[in-house]
Amino acid sequence: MDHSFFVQALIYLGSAVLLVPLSKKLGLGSVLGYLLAGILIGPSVLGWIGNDGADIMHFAEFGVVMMLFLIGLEVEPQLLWRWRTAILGLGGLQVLLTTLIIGFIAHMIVGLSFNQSLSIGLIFAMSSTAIVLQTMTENNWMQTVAGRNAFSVLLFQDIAVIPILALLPLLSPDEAAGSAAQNHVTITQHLEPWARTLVVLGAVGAIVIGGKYLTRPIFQMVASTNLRELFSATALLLVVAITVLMSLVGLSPALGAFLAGVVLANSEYRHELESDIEPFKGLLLGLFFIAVGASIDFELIAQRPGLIAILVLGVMLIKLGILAFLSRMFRMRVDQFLLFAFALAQVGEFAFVLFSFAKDQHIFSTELFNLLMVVVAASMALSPIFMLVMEKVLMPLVVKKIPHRNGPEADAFEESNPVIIAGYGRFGSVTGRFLKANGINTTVLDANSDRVESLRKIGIKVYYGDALRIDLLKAAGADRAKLIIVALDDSAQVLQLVNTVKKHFPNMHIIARAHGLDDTYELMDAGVLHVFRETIDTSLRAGTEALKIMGVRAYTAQRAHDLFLQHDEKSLKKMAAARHDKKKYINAMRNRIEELETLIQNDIHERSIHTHTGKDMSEIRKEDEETVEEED
Amino acid sequence: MNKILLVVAHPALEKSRNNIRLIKAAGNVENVIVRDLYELYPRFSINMAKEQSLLEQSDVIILLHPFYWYSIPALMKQYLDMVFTHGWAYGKEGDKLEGKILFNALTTSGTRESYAPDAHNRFPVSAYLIPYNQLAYVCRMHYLPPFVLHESGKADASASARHAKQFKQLLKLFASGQPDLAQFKELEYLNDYEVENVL
Repeated sequence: MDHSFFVQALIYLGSAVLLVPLSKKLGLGSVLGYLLAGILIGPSVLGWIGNDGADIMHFAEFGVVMMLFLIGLEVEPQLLWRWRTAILGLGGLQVLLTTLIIGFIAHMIVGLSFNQSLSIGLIFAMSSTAIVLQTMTENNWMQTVAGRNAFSVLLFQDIAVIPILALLPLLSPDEAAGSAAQNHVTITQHLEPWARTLVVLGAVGAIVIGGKYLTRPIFQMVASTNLRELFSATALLLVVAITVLMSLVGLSPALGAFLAGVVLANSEYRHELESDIEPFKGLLLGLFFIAVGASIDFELIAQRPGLIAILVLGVMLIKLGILAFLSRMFRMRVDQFLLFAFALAQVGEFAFVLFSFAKDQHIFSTELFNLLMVVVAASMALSPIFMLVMEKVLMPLVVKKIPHRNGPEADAFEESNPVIIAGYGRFGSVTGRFLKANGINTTVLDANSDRVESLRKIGIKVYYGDALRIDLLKAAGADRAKLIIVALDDSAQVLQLVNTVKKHFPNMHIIARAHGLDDTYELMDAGVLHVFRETIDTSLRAGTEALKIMGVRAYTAQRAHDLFLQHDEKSLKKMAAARHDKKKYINAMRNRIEELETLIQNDIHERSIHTHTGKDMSEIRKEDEETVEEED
Repeated sequence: MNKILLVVAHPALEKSRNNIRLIKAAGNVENVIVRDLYELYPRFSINMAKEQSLLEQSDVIILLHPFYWYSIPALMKQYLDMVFTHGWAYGKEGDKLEGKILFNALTTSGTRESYAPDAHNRFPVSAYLIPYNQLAYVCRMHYLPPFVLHESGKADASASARHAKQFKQLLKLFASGQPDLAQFKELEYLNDYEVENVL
């Protein structure tokens, strides 16, 4: 076995485990932690990893693809349509203005050739999807207006990469333009433009149609095997397949993955997919950031510190200015505008690919290329610091509180319902229907794939998945939900889930379904305030109806019902405390029954003694009936 | 023929012989519908549409209740609040009760004499009934004096029966046709009307 792989893994993982928690603890966010880890182990500091950083970066870019897939899962198609102004308007203008202004400066002031300036303008217009989205998600900013708009711009940039890749060869000074780079082998490059368009459209269509009709039976089949790892493998396979397909036809894999995510956003397997892909994405993104950190050429920076500082800050400030202008134009609130502009001010990872491609087209000399790459890497590394300055210094000046979670004007970016229902059997389904009828949205999880399938058929949005898993709960929005209703069929699982929720999501209220007395006690011991025995209400209602049939008036029967229930719940606590001592328990049980009888009898009796005559009602009534009969 | 709606509210009707008897007596009159609120809505969820349609079909509406704390029992208040709504009972478009007759039929343990300025209850019964009087005015109804049973607790079987009989005769009078409202309005209690003479 190749030991060097493990040594490499040791270095990457070790540096990440060491620095990321530290960085998070210092409030600097995970991205900066990874970047620092990369710088630390990179050639400039410790030199533990050599120049293979670039290769690793290519590999780790797959993390970005996964991230876009995950984001796609949370964007329903209608949402995308509603964002069209932001995507086309905001995104289009951002790319256009940045290209023009940076290109103009490069051409007129720095004195580069027109083609070089245009390339640089286009490439610098790109922002880093990885850094922006990671930071935004980490801080719960995705659901704000700024988060949504930043995402729209990134989406447009993702799309823009395709025409830029097509344009760069035309800017090449070579006569033999179009001699595509080796690492960019596509099946479409020898085709006529119209045929290429057709193939691209076909691939997109394949993702949409395949995602809509093919995935469900496959997932269902895999889910019915009950092998978790097989489901994870299927999920990974899906993303890898899209990446391969997209690369073959020359489209951005990230874009394809995003599209597939959108198609699957309504699927019942959405949360399961999310929780399966999430850890891979996290690891690969971390690796990606490390690679970026490692690729910063500090030697070059040391040689020309002034120039590079001016370039990096210049580019970022220009981008910032354009973004600020756009956010005012699109009438964002001042806090949102800060968030939006600072988030997107860096140059993104697309620049690595595009600059490399441009260099292969001989647009840049090696020297200029190296300089540009340093600027890109440094701007990415500075980005978290920019965000930090914005968040800690500027933001407090304009608003008291940073917009956490959904601002009132924001579209829900991802499904984040206030209530999660775990288990949609005969208990959960009634509760769920009741909440729905009252306009409260719920996210429903059920581990029975047959039930999920049939509920979906009648139009109830149920997600397949085992609610006992923390990652799945997270994907279902447990971090943001206000309440979880634990209505699983199995009482041991109810208790297990309650404990999981208490431990990992302590802010959620818990309503738990109990089956008998034993698990009621256990749930009470676990600290659940709202325990509902599944049969008590129904049995009591049946009893109340029986009273009515026996001639008791409805209101009196209702009072007896309420009294019984109140007392029963009160004595439940006493019995829970006494239950480990058999003798005490039996005593408590007996007391409960006796007390209850006295209580209800008193209620009836108190109101039945005729206050004025002191006669018992039954006597009076007898008297009365006799008289009335005489009268008639 | 007039249709009569007898709206009853007594949280422990099974223990009130007077009210039971009044309801029984009323039930024997043609064209009387009884709404026993505490039996129909033990959880206070009143079916507004149903009650409104019954009210629309009636010409005379009687609120039968014990005089709890000089007022109506909780559920009857809930009934008035939920059913006599703006746009239906009153307000610009609210004319569904216009011209109908409304009065209270109540039982109280106090004597008639105690409802006087220098006596224990200090005010006449009609003073305590101002809210319903005004409700009728706002809904453009005719409000009539109450039908009262005093000393309800002490009323023995025969007194109670007499009272019920009088109630029945009154209801028959209302049901039969056009009662002389002006004449009624001058009375302190509807009880004071010599029904037997008319019939």
